Amino acid sequence: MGWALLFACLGAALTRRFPQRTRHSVALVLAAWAAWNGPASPGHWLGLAFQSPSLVSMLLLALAYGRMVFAEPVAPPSRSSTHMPVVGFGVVVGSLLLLDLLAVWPGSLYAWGFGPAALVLALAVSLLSAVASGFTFSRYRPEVWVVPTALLLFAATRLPTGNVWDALIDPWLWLFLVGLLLRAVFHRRSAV
Amino acid sequence: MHHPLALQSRLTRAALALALVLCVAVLDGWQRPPVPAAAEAVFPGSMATANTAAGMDPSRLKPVASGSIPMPAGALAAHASSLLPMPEAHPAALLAFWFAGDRESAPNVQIAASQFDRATQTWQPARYVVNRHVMGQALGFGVRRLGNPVAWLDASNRVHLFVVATGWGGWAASRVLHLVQSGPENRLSELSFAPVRVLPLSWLWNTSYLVRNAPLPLADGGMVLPAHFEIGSKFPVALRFDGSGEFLGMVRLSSRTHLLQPTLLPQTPRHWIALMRDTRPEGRITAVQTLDGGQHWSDLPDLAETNPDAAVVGLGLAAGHSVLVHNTSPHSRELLDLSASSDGLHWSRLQALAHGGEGDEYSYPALAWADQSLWVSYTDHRRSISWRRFAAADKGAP
Repeated sequence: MGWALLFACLGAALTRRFPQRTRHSVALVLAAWAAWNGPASPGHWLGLAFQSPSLVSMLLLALAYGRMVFAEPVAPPSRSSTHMPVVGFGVVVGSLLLLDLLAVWPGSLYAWGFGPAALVLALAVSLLSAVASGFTFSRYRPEVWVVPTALLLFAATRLPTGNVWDALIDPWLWLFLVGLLLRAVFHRRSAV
Repeated sequence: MHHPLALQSRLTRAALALALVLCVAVLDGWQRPPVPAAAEAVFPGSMATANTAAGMDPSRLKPVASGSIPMPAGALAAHASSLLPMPEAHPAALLAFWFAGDRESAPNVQIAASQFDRATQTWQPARYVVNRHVMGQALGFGVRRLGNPVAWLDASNRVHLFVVATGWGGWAASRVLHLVQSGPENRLSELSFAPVRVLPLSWLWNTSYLVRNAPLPLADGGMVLPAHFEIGSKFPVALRFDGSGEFLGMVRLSSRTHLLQPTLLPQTPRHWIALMRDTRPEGRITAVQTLDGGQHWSDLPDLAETNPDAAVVGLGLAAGHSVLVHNTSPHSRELLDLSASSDGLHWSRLQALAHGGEGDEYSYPALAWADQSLWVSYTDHRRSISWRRFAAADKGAP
């Protein structure tokens, strides 16, 4: 499912100048190819290497697809920094998990993700910035709801693995967030 | 103007956030498996009578049979056997699983199995029971190579296999594939497996966890499966499962980073020792212990026994009676011995299992207790799986 979403986005991105129906068709074909079971499918090899994307990645991919194909309005640039606390939170969590993999911490942070406390903590932290900055139901800012929605889905389904960290962030998303953070830092320095 | 439904009051937003947290907490509590009871290990002889329990004293064990387990037709290499004792009503005393193919990590490696028949007192011809292409088709993504299998019998007598399966990369890119018997029968001739899932053990694409040694059975019908992380740092972990094979969580056994392939030896139901392979030059068998049924672990001093960066396997037969199979030469795998201990930490040689010369290799031992006998299997020159059977001297084997 995750890799099918990625290929749907890829299809939409490659057909920007085509009519909407064509874009949907190309996206659907590529998604079906990725979802196909067998070595002829890219999903077979991506799953072999990277298992499954996180729920947050899947929701972001779904949003990206909607934006590309339905030309959803982009939020006013003046509020572009509202996501930075969430981005920073993602970067910190991913970094802590990466170090955990090397047994740097006395306990196992990843193992803690199987328990209920990590879920509640992750949800509380993801909502803190929203409370502070003012989350809305606006169609301009659906990203505000991505992390809480992913955690709600996780609580209901235990997908993808039963570990909340796997629902919240995957290594590719972490790299993406690191890029976003570096870009924001660079822009802030340029502005000064 | 851009936010018609903006939540203007910070108090309103906080109340909504709190409601969401509560909603998720309730949903999570409803969906989450119940917290397992404290883990208590059971010894193989926990159901034994006083008469049979006496036979579990390692000092009374004498060799009664030995040989090689039949290989599947055409297999040139074999490695990493796992022994599974079967219930008394089963026609086989033991099932054995190992990986076989052209060579270790070859594309045609599959998981082979054989069973030791109680009626004929022989090992049955081996057959393959796990194929990576079939598993990849069932999982929906590829499995590049297959490696160590570890077998377990759940509370319903279904056979589970935990198999090392690689993604992109070598053994360091391994994952642990959990399989369960897919048919109603667990006889060798009808044994087949379906994947449950790849166990979620690490955040980085679930990479670099392997299994090698047998699980520790628990009184609740579940078990604790020892495993280890291998890429760069090497550290041991223990994975808890309930009686149906549901994965319940994991705990790291040590923060030292040169320990792998733990083997679990119960000393009492709640006091367990894990012994491990040591990757350091001039290595020793390393040890950790838990006093609370695996919830917390602490490092112990290295044992006096040398370890040439080779797998060891232990088995707690009864309180005060443990056995260990290990390579006893400091720099090679040419000597393989059976030792005994009363505390799991101080060992004395009991039997020589295989003593070869330079270039010989006897490795990756496995242990099991079945039919009032101690069974040992090990890799013989990476070409075949050898086995030994020991029984109390005054009883003998059938």
